[in-house]
Amino acid sequence: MKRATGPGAGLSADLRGTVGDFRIEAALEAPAGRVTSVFGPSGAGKTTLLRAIAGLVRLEGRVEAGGEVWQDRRGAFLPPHRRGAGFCFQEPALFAHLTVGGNLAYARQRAPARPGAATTEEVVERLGIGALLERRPARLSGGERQRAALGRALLGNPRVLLLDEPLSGVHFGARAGLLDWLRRLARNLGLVVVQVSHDLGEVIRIAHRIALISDGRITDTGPAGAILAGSGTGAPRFEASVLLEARVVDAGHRSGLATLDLGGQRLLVAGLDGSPGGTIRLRVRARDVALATDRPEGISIRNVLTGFVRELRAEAGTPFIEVLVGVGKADSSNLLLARITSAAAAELGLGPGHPVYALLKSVSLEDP
Amino acid sequence: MNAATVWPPIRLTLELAGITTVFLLLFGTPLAWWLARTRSRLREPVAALVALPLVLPPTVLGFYLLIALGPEGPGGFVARLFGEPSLAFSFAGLVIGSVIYSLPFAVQPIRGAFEALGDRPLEAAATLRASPWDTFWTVAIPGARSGLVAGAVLGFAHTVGEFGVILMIGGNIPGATRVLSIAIYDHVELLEWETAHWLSGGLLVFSFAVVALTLSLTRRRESGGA
Repeated sequence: MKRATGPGAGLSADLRGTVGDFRIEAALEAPAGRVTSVFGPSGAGKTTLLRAIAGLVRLEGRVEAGGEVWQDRRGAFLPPHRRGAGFCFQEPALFAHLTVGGNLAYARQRAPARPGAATTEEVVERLGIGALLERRPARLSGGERQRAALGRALLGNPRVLLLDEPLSGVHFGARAGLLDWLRRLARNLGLVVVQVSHDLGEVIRIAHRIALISDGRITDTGPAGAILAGSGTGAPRFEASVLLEARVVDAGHRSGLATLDLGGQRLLVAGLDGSPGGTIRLRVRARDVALATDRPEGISIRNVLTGFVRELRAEAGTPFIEVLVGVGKADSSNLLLARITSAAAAELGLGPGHPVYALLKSVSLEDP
Repeated sequence: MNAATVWPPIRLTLELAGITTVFLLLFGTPLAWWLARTRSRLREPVAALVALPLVLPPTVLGFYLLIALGPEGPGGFVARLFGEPSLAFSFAGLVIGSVIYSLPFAVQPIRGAFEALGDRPLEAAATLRASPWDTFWTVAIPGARSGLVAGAVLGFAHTVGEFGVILMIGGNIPGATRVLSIAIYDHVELLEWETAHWLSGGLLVFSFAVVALTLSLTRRRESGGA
């Protein structure tokens, strides 16, 4: 059976309503097999949006998932237990009267059969909770509870997995691996994963798509790279940066410097822990990118990429300008953002289509 | 002290308290669940009604129960269906009276335990496809276990110690309505101090054990709850 990954298999929600005195009016599209991060400040309505999608709070509007109508504008409303959206709460809601193993079994017993779904053994192993199975939640640390709760949600074999800051208490080192695993699971199972976070590092690591939310409204949504580059209009400005996906050519275990391939160009990065052939994600901050019109000689920066100016964006009220550069070809999907002064841009005569050399002072791996 | 006069009231009391406790859990648990979960405006009036026996003099409650259970009341109507003249002065009447009288003692701890459980575990169960019925039995009831035990223990103990209501609606019929507290009263009236001492001392120890047990159960819930 081929798994549907078209828009029909994804999640589509258009919700509005008032919870307490908070007004939410948000439309969210999340494709199957992809991780969609809802990113925004605390109190922006992220949690409410997830709860409404799961049916835990009742908002007006329409929710469709996997071709199934969960609620519509005419008042049809499927209760949460008929939606079966996997949910990881911010403060893990394990059943206190059951052991960790009992909690997992609770989910398993009520899960629909789904070919290719993760087995209990796999989930237990990946989450590193094998030693905790006999323990009660009261005797777990915060991170252990979160991992157990994530395992329980996964073993419910949901089609839609809603994660409300599920890994905030998990040790930083373990978190990166878990996020990667979640991404792969989403892809392999055709799972819709909607993750809520205010941790940019987590979003960069996991998200295929990003929806920006503030004051109960989705202000921008799109592929992760484009949103992080800040191309969306009206989006709240992050510390401007972009996300690049690069292939590992040589992990550089001996030299300590890994060689990466980015659209045919080479990059050297330190501190990589991966194997050749794999794909990793890099974050490059706009202020760490310098531009040159000639190939620079005699400088210490090793990472120099060729590309073409795509767009110039003045930062109102500052002497700076942001230059969006397509790496390699002019229509490249790998975008870099450089923050330089307007004076420098004028001196270099930069304009759309202009070929440039981008000097990367610093490249960080995934987590900032 | 005569075993023939001492044991029947004790047995009757334990029977009454046992059966009453079963009914208390049967009615009290759904009632406590409703009180803990509902957003209905009826919640506070109903809660007040349940708590009424805490403040009402037992004789007042007993008086109204006597009328309700008597031949002219609804209790008498029900009794006639079974060929009895009235529910007053019968064991069945005592059970009904005891359930009403002890209801707040059972409902309060159970309601408290349901409230302490919070929404989260119930919501988590729902997202794992457990129906509300399933959730009630597999999450709410086990999660409120200590409250249920405390409610049962307090309901049982309170029924054992009941006096005024029983005197009003049950009278003093040996083997049918003559429970422990009334037997003690009789023994004192008849100046049988030794028997009164034994029964009272027994009840004292029993009551202390019950209160100690309930406190330790509530304590454990507070410290062990996650």
